[in-house]
Amino acid sequence: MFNKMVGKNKLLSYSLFFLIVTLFFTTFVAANTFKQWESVDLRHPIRINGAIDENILANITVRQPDNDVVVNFQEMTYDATSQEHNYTVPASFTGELGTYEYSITATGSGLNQTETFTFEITPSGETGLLGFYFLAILLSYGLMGFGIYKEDITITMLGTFALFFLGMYIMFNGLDIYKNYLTEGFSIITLGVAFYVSTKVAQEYLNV
Amino acid sequence: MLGNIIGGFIVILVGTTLLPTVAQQVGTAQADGNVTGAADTLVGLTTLFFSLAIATSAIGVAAQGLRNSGLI
Repeated sequence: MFNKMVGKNKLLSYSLFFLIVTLFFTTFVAANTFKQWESVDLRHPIRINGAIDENILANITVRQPDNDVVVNFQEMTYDATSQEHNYTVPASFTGELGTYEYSITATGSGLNQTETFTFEITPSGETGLLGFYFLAILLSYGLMGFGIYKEDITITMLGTFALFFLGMYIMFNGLDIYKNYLTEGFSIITLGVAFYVSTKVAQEYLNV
Repeated sequence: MLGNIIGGFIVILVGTTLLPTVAQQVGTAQADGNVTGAADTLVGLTTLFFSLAIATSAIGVAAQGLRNSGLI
């Protein structure tokens, strides 16, 4: 029976297989990726000639993706437990999405060196989740569409519940690294569809 | 008929379980100020429409049950 079903729905089977493979290979969380509007704790072990020295003076400068300096040569704090220098970038400075560049200048024992690093700010603090989003959108709309196709009120209602969550999730977190008027528009439309279909279909319980 | 009533109960059960999560997410989004303007208004309506759908389903299932038993 399963083979018969697969035979009839080859396209659907291949699509699902492709989606699962895509999801498996594209989902990852980068270590230096942080969430928008949340503080970022930058930690670096700083050594001079390979030795730990708590007297090393470290200063940090952070630039936003548009090159605006948001932290200007501020002194980093030395953490004796982890033997690292750290600086916490306030949440108010991480509103812009993209790649932030920061330079650390270490001074001590007559040496002075500056190195530049980067970190990413994304709406959800994660990246490479396009496969996950694609699957979530397809499953939510697909479940609702399947319910409508089968004229099954319960499946349609459960599909609209999924759409409520999908709409809210995209509105709060955007789509992968994107959060702009397009993702906001899509989330509003998704919520609108969920509002309409859920109330319309719920009335059908009265008519059956 | 019985299938629809069972389905209705499942919708109500799942819906009422998910409702606090929806309300919590909406509350969080409105409190942190990251969602503004028209989107903020729409997000505020989400809890209302979600609960409206559950309430309508409950009324529908109840009415259907009463109709089947000949009470209405």
